[in-house]
Amino acid sequence: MAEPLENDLFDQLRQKSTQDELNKRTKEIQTRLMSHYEKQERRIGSTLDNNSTIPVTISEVRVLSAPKTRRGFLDRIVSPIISKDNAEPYTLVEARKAIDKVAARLSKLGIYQHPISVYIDKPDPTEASSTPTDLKVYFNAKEGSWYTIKTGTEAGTAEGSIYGNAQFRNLFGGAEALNIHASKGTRTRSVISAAFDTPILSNPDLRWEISGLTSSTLKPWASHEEVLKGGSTKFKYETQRGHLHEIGYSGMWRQLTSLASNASPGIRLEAGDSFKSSLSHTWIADHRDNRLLPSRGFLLKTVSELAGVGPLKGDVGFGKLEAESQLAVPIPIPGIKGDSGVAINAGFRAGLLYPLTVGGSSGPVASRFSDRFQLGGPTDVRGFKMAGLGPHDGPDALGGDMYAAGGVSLLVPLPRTGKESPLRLQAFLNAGRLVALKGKPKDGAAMDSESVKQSVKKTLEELKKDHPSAAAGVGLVYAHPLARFELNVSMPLAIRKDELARKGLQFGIGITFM
Amino acid sequence: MPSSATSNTNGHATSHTKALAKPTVNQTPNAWSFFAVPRPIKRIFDRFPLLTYPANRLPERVQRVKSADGHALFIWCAPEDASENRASFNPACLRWQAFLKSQNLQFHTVSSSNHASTNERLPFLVVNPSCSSPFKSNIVSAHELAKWAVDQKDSWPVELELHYEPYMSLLNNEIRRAWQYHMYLSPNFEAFTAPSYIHSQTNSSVVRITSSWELQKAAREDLMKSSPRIDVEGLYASADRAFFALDNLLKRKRRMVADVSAPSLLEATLFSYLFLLLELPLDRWLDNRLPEIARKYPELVELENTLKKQYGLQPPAIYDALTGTKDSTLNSRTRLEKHFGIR
Repeated sequence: MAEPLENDLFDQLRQKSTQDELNKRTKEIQTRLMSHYEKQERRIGSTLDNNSTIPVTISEVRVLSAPKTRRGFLDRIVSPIISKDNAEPYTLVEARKAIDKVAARLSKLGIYQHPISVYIDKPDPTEASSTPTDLKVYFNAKEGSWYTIKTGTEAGTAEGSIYGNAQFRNLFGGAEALNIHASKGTRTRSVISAAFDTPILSNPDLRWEISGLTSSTLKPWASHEEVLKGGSTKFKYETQRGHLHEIGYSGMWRQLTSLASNASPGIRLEAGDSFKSSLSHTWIADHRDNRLLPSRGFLLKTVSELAGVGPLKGDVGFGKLEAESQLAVPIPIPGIKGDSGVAINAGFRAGLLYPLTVGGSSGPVASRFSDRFQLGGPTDVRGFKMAGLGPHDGPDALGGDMYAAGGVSLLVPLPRTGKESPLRLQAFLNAGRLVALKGKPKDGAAMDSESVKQSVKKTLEELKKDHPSAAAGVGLVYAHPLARFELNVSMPLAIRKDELARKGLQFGIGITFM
Repeated sequence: MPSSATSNTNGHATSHTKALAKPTVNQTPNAWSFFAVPRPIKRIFDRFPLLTYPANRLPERVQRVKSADGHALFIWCAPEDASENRASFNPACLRWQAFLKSQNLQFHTVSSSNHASTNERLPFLVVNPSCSSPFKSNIVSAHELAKWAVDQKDSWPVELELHYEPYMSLLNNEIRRAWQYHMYLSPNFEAFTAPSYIHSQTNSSVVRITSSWELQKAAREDLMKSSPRIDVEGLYASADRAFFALDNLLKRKRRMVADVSAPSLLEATLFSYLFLLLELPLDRWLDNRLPEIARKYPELVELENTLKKQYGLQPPAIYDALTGTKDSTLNSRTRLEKHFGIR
């Protein structure tokens, strides 16, 4: 009797299921799961709703499985939710919200394994001190491994490197972290950096960091090697709306050295030592749905820096402002329900360097190579070589004091892979202009504040009036979880003499693209 | 798509690019290779960019020097010394500065540091683009300077120099070593060397301290190369003997040749040490053993005097600061701070 049925099953299995059928089945399973979860949610919700106004007090909180974390550190996080003797009791909903908030804070510290589970219990009613409204709360926060060490090699066109990375977490039981990184390579010759970072007052949104760096990087687009040695300290604060603020001080010894034999006189004049001592503030508001391949939302970022201040004064004095924005708009396609995956990304960046008097000098000091802006390359103005825009002396990019650049790209999913895949076709048009400050160098006289003001004004007008260099092209974008890869074919449309454009293929890897 | 372009897709790092077609000058149209770009595509590529605007203005720090005419000799000197065409405080630079002047070659000096040179050594000359051939590098390093000067002027007597080779060796060994001790390891370092080489480059105390330490360490190691320990008395005694020999040479030369011919490279080298040793009053050196030795030889003092006038060279500004004719009550340290400390 069973035979015909079995045969039937075998037949079914033998039959190759088509792609459509498979898709249909997966969809069915998904909807079933979804409805199951929804039901469960609703049931919990209704129970809570029915009891939402029950008065409760939290008499005890325990954080389990966290032996290495300091008690005083956890106290600051959990004690605010413990009901005080004379305070109004919570309603059940309020208590739940307070508990969720603590769990979110604990998980944001980054030292516990996800997820942090919460248990609620009634204390033993025979205990004399307990009241009928009392609740006991348990957070099961299992500490993650306290260190990670990674080593590896990386290889690619014109770059090969070996690296080691060590991360130590929860060093002193207060979610302190120490990151040590070292690498040696062909282009980034060597880097050693260390950063210590700790939350302030157990607040994961307010952190303090102190770091040191020594590195040596080849800059073939300006025929030299840059050696950096320095340190910085900063406060990082994340607002409730997710905006990030960083205020810091850094002291950096920069050395332009090991010039190529064909280095231009311009870069030779900039070679040597300089010390920068600066205060800086960074603000980031990132409301994009995806950092690497956004389809909606916007990013705003500003960096302001004041150099020539602080205990170490240094050799350079300037005020520097830089702004970056990106807007992503989804484009609905008639006939396709929901998101089509087609989007327009528009980016704009601008920067200004304003020479200032550094302590002890008689007037504002002219900007140095290390501080000036560079523009051009696959991650900003595509269709130009690295630092291909702006003032050049022979093959060397000398950088500029003021810039503006903008670009628009249309991103379309590949016909076969669809919008869920991280692949997109793109068509772009971008332009930029990078200029040096209009000085009065002929008489060799030192600048004064008034002349700097005038030349900044003139340069700004020039930036507005003059035509930018521009390029357009098409290409393929792949958003890997770690970085975005682009392969474009581009053509320069307008260019300034001595600027270096890229005709044809251009490959770019980066995290921020214009 | 030619494979020259596709081979490039496995890239890494922030960026790497490769052109499909790069219009090169020496591309012969008939030579066909697998990597060549098909001509119709090349024709389209050649049409871009559609517009070319005039070049960008150079940044101010660069513009100031680029706009000057003539060849530029990059030497160790204070930035304000360069505009006044004063002597370098580094004998290796002053030697070529003096030599080029003796050859009547027109140039201006640029204040620089070792980092500016490809071989980490000053001086070097940047040839004015209008005088150089476009096929040659326009940078002439120190060891090529003599040959370059010959190319500029046909009548330089090279064979004469060969005759003086042993004397040149005295200058490059005995005298250079004594000078090194005198400048880098004696108390003169604080008063003279650190302000001129390091304080003129940076205001930062961190960089100054580190660089001073590195500079002294390098000098010590250099001296240790010739002997396992630094024998100060021995160094000065050897310098004394070398100066004596050079003094004798000048005496003989004066007897042999009635009129003094154009100064040779040897004389320019000798002059560079003598000028720097003799121009500062004896009591301003914190360790004055080496200038005292040089002062003993009248022919040397005479040569320094003659050539100084001939070249029209002024001592480096730091000498004025150290001599301090106007406010002689200040000690040398305060004067130095006045000169270099505030910048």
